[in-house]
Amino acid sequence: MKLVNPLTAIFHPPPTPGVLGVFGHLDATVEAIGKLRHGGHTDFTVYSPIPRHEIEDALDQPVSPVRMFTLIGGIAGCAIGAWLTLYMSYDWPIVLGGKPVGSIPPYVVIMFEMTILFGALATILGILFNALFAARRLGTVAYDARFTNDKFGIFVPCEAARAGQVEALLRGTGAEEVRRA
Amino acid sequence: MSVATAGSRAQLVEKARHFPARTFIAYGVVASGVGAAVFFWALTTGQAARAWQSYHVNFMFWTGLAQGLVVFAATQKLAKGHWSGLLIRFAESAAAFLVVAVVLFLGLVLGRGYIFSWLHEPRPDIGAWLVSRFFFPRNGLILGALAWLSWRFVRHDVAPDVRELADGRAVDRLEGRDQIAREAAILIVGFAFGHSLLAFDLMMSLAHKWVSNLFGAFYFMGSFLAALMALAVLAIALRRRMGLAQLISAKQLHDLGKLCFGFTVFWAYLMWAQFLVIWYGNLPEETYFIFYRLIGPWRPVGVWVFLLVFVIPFVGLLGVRPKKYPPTFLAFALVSLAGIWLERYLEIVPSINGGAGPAIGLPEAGVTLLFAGLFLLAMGWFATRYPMISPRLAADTLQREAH
Repeated sequence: MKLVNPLTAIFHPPPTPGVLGVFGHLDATVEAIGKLRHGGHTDFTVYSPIPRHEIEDALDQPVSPVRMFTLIGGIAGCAIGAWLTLYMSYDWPIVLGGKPVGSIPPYVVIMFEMTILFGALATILGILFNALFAARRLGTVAYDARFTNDKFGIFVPCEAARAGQVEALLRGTGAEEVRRA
Repeated sequence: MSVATAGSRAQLVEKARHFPARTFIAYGVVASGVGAAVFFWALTTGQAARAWQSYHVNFMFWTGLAQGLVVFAATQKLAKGHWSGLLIRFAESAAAFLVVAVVLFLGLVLGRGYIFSWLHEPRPDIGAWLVSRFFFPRNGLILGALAWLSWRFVRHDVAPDVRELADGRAVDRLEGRDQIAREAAILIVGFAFGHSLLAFDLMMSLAHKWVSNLFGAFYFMGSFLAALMALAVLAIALRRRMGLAQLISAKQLHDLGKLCFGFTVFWAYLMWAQFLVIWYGNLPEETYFIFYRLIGPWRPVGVWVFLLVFVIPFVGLLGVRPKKYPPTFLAFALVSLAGIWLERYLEIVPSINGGAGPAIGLPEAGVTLLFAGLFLLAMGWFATRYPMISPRLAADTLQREAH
């Protein structure tokens, strides 16, 4: 029996069968996205060399779950900032400038900064987690180096039986190149 | 995809003619008439001090708000903002009030005995700076110069649209862009310097010996916040009336809402930056200003200012939906405007009413009505002469938004 390294399974999941279309024009890409969604495809991947609102609008994806990470991270950071400053003040109480040992006005600044720090770090973690989960779900999808240069791409996961139909759809909307992966 | 076809351009030109200028003028005449009657009633029935003090509060509030609106338009020109094409003329129309404000400044000269505490307690330590002969011409000059800069900027931005409405031919979106951007830059710098000085002279000087370097910036950024909230109110009130409900989209309200939210946070940031330094320094000549407003009879006003300008709009405008849904956005904008008015009241009146507590009643409401009426009148006057939608900028916004 062959054992799978769990890290490999997360970072390099097995390749997903499907069809990769290469597009030279934004309009053709947007049209293909519309037709794919109309045809009931949901899990396809779109590559773009530049961020475009047109693609965003055509995909019309649900709101990213990353913002919940940001919110929880920010609230946690604010609480940690309050705890850190107050705990440290009372753990080794020194009266400074006649102020109370635990005085809130300057600690608000620390709480504010910690909110931002933890919010930002939680956002990065949220992006990482969601990317890894997506990779687990979608498998390793086909890619072409030109997608970072001057071409748009759409990868549609599908079993061999339906591949011909998807190929025809991509070609029909103006794909320059279509290949099976 | 493009909306900027000839048909819809003609539609925009048509909509530009449908500003309810008469309604503005009618409301303006009624409000300023009633307000002026209450003001004179207060002057003649022994409440002159309260009347002139609320005159000063409203002068600072409305002048800052109107100047902030024009400066908002200038920031859009300077940053090459494309989203605000449908709203920008509402902001620019406030330039008309700035001319009125120069005249209203004469009121401060008339009522100076009730307003400027240093007339009774001279400040030889400051020398020639706080002497009537230098003080009033200086501030009048600042107001006049800013009104001129604003008017020059607005006139050049309006000119192509006036021509388009007259002969029906679409003008180029970029016409006169460099000149307009240059004037916008000068106006923004002039606003920062001019309104800092106005805040130091007209508000900070009232609190005897209280000095704060941040006060000028705090005043003009507060005015800018008020301007953004007022623009939200204008946009929401006018979008149905002018048949723009489809054109001033939820996206644009979202953009405006983000600015309102951001400057709400910035207001709190500046306020805290100020409060923290005074708290740390703990110098009696600085702390009395804060203590006086947070302890005793003024405490409720101080707490309400913080709630109305920061806490309520912050929580309310945090989400996407309250910003996109006109009724909630309008409600929070009005709350913020009320808070900023109260903030001006809190900054001015405790310094000059001789130790009395807050009194907000008929004289204050009447003078506020007078200024609001004059503001509406000025806008209505502007709207009868110039197009209140800029077809070239609106077409640009809609074209970009269509994607």
